[in-house]
Amino acid sequence: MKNKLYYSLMIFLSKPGMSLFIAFELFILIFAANFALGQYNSKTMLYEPVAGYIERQGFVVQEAPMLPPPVNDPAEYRSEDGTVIITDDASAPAEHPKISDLLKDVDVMTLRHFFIGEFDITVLPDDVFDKLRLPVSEGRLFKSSSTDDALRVIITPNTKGYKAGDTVTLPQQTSDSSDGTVSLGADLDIKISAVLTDPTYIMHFSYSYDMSYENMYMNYDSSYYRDQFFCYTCQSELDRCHAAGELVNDDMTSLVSFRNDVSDEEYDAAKAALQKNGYTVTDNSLILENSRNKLEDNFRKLLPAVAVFGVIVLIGIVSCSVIGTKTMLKKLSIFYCCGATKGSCIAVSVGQTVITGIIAVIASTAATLVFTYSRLSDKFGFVFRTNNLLMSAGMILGAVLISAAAPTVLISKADPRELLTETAEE
Amino acid sequence: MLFHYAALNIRSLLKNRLGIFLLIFISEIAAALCILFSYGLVMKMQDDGREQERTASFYSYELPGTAGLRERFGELKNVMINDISSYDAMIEVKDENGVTHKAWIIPDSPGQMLDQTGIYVLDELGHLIKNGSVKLNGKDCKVIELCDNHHIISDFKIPEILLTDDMQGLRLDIKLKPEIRPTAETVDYINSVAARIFGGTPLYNPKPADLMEKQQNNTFYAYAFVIVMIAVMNLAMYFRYIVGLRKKQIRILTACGATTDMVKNIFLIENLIELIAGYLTAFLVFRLGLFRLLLNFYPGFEDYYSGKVYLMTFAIFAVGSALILMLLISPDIRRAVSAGKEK
Repeated sequence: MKNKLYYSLMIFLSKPGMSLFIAFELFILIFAANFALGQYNSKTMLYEPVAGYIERQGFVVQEAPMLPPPVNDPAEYRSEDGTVIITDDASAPAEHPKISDLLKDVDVMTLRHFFIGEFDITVLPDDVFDKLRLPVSEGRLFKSSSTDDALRVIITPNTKGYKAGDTVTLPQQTSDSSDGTVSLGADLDIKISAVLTDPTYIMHFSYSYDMSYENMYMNYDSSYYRDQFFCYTCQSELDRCHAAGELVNDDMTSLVSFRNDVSDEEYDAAKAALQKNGYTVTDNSLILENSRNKLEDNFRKLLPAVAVFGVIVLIGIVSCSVIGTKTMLKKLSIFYCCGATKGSCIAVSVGQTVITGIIAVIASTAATLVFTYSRLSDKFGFVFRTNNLLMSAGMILGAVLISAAAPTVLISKADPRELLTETAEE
Repeated sequence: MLFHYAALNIRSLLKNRLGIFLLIFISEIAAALCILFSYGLVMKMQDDGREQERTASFYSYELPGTAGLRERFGELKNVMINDISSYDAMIEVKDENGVTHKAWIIPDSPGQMLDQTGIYVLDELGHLIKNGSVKLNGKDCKVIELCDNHHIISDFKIPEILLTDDMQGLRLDIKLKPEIRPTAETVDYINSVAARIFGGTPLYNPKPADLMEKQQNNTFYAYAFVIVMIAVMNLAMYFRYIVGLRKKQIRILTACGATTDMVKNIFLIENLIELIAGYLTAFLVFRLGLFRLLLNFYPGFEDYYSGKVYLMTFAIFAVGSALILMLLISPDIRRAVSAGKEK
């Protein structure tokens, strides 16, 4: 066994060009396929953070109207088509029923937001925040557990010049309920951990022109939103820094998911309770379907390119191994004349193929490590998971088998003595 | 003579090394398919990019019938212009026949204060037209005053639409001037104005860039490049192997008086014959099989392929592989020729 491996290595080293070429092709294929899969993984992360909530029966409740419908005469606050009229009428009641109050028995994920100065900060539940994998241009995404003093946030690209690592101290705010600003007991330090790429996505339930929610995220482009920027933090971060009750202004968007299966009556009753209070409601299933369709549509477009890639590389691998074996046959026939069996010759040839596969694995692993540790994966928002590992292993195994098949067939059919005679004649 | 030798080489390959010939041939087909596919991919990405650019500042609304429009045009004075015009918007109105009518809406020309507001129509030189005739797109058009300072060009049929029978299915397209970037604020504002003035229901609004699409386009470009590169490298490897196989033959040719250039030309002609056959096969595979499959993934893919494109891709394929062939095998041929001369 040792000898066979030694001879395989020797043959590989005596003319490494062809084997290295196969290794290179294999490396490119593995890398390209993982790249595509990593991209797909990262896109699925757009809905995976909220998957636990959205895959259950429920709905998304749109931002509450700026002012609640009046208790006494709701009609005067609605237009003919049912649109809520936003009014400055000071006589309107100040209190608006909270989603959580309306849906006491329902599991509600709320995207709450508050303003401190120009910072519009959205608070995500820890489990959602920890699963976010948005690509960043600066810094790194953080996890919910922390010992920092400042309130850590991730921020969209902005024209204000805020960069990763900046700490902004915001002074005490004056209380003003109309613009969402609330009073703080003391100055608050905000530390920017990461700046997202431009364009990016914001964890919002994006709405189309008619304000109906259609996706679990919203496109953000700094040239489109100009001076407007968004920040994200998690609940535990907020709890650690300040009393959340004082800071958080209101429910912005709520993802309502029922803990258990509910009857149609209960579902309709919950929906009606919200609608009655001026909230717009969209079924989770619709949003989930839209988001999945978009992700799958994008991935589907990548498939032909990856398939063409695979076919080309496959042809390359097969032909390289055929040519490589043909070149190697003369050496193997010498082994044969020195007493080696055909089986040993095949084993030596397969050994060479395995060495080639190992080189491809080392190269791909190195490339992946470089990709990860140079933060390129953060920049692209790529997510490498078990499926990448399984796919790579499958591809390498397949490639090694294909490369080993050609030498096996060629060696078993060839007559070593004839080959040597040909060599001698040349 | 050289062609004859090239043909003999191909016959010899077919007869003695059919397996190798088939591998070369399959690789050539694959390389040609890669070029054809990559071309469409790149063109599609560029087209998508252009479409995105085109629609980046594009608004579209479904309008109520003409009667409603006429009423609303009558209300424009001092209301609409102060709103929409601040975004330097151009209005395009399509009638039911799909004919587009254009007019720039401007509140005031640079450096010029206007006493009244309204829809103003500019000629091609940017001059304000109020009454009379103007040549627009090579046509003599009459400018009609609808109401105070609301001017429309007659030959563009808007007056008929506005003033005669009530028509349904009108669409209003608003396009921002190229130098104006759409923002969330603009979108909201124009939507509210369009709804208030025209009663238009939005069909399309400018959208912020999508990260996923941007990343995907970049990936496509990278893939197209790498696919072609790998295909070409496969071919190059074959060429070298073939030269290695024919060392003996090159020596004989040299002994018979052939020069290095002649040997190179034999290889080039042989390669060209194989390329033509390979490309034709690839073309058939592409048109009859792959193309339909690709259309499922990339709708509109057929728009990028015409006879001219096939000729062009063949030219790229032939010239590219000839260059690679020469670059890679020239040293080998030279060595074989000098060895032949020494012997």
